[in-house]
Amino acid sequence: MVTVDDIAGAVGGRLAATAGWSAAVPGGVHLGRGPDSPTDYPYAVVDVVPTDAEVFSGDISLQRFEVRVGVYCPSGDPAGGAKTAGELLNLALASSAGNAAMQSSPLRNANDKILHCLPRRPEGDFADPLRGGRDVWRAGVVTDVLTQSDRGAA
Amino acid sequence: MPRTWQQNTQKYLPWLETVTVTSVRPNSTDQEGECEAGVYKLTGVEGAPSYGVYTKHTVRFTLSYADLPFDPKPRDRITWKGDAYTVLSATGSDWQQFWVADAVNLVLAEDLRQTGTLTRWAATQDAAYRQAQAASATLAADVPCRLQPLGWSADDTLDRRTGPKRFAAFLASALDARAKDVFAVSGTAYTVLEYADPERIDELPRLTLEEIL
Repeated sequence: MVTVDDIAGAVGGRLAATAGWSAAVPGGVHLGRGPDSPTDYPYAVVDVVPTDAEVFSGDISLQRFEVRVGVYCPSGDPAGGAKTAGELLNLALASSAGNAAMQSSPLRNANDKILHCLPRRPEGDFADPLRGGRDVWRAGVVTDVLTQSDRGAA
Repeated sequence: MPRTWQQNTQKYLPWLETVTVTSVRPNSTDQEGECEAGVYKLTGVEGAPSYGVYTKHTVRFTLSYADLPFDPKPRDRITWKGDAYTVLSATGSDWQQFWVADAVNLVLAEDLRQTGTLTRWAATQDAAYRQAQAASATLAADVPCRLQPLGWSADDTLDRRTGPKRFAAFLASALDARAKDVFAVSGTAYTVLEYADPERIDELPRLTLEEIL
């Protein structure tokens, strides 16, 4: 079965491989919860929410994941950081190129595959607290990741 | 200076000190006068929860009536042994030939040797019409202050488990601060959460600040 960790690894790999990502999001990618003491801002938090598997008569099953990525950007630091983060999320996960890249991402088991990574919706809102007097904008994207899993493998 | 018989109180409260009394006059030039005084310390208490950093010392001055060219009043300043005391109350009479002035000295460990800068974001917007927060205006620079940690509690903040730290900054003078202003001390920018102006001469204005790592 494809696990949450498998998808988080693929998403993190795709984000890191996207041109401009490392410079724009120097705080790194974190699963589920951000860093205790961020080395830098902005940083990204990835949430992976699985839905029920569709199981067939053989070993093949389909598993859908909702992947939600949010990048926490203090306004004005750097200038345009929120805009850039939103555009990079779109490029990395919601575009055709992102879909193709995710489809070719290797998973833990060779027979497990990402069938598609399709956009659900972009997100953007202010977090409640301020940092150093700055608003913190959460630039986000939600995608639908469909996987094929081979139950014959562990 | 000639004395009258009423000044026999000196037998019981010897006026051994020389103090400088400044009559603070908001609408005209302050006046200053030296006079003999008897000095008695009344209290020394903590002015606010601060591990003893912020203390208040109340002193009773018995001032020579004849020496002073003006009547002391609240808000006047008495300088004694290099410390400035703010007069809270003053009583006395020509007949008694002395004034009794209770005054307070607000003392902070290391005094208000830190300085802070209050800034406010410019009202510019980015292309998406968010507040850009790329430039700010300085509202007050080099404000004498004392930054005092208040504590923190664990909280879910910005998708992290962390503890936003709270600080109190005691200020030498009132500030026109607003929420979202930034008060920077020693290179660290703190978010202004609260401002308390006691509107009293025996308490210091205070900013409550927050720092999120």
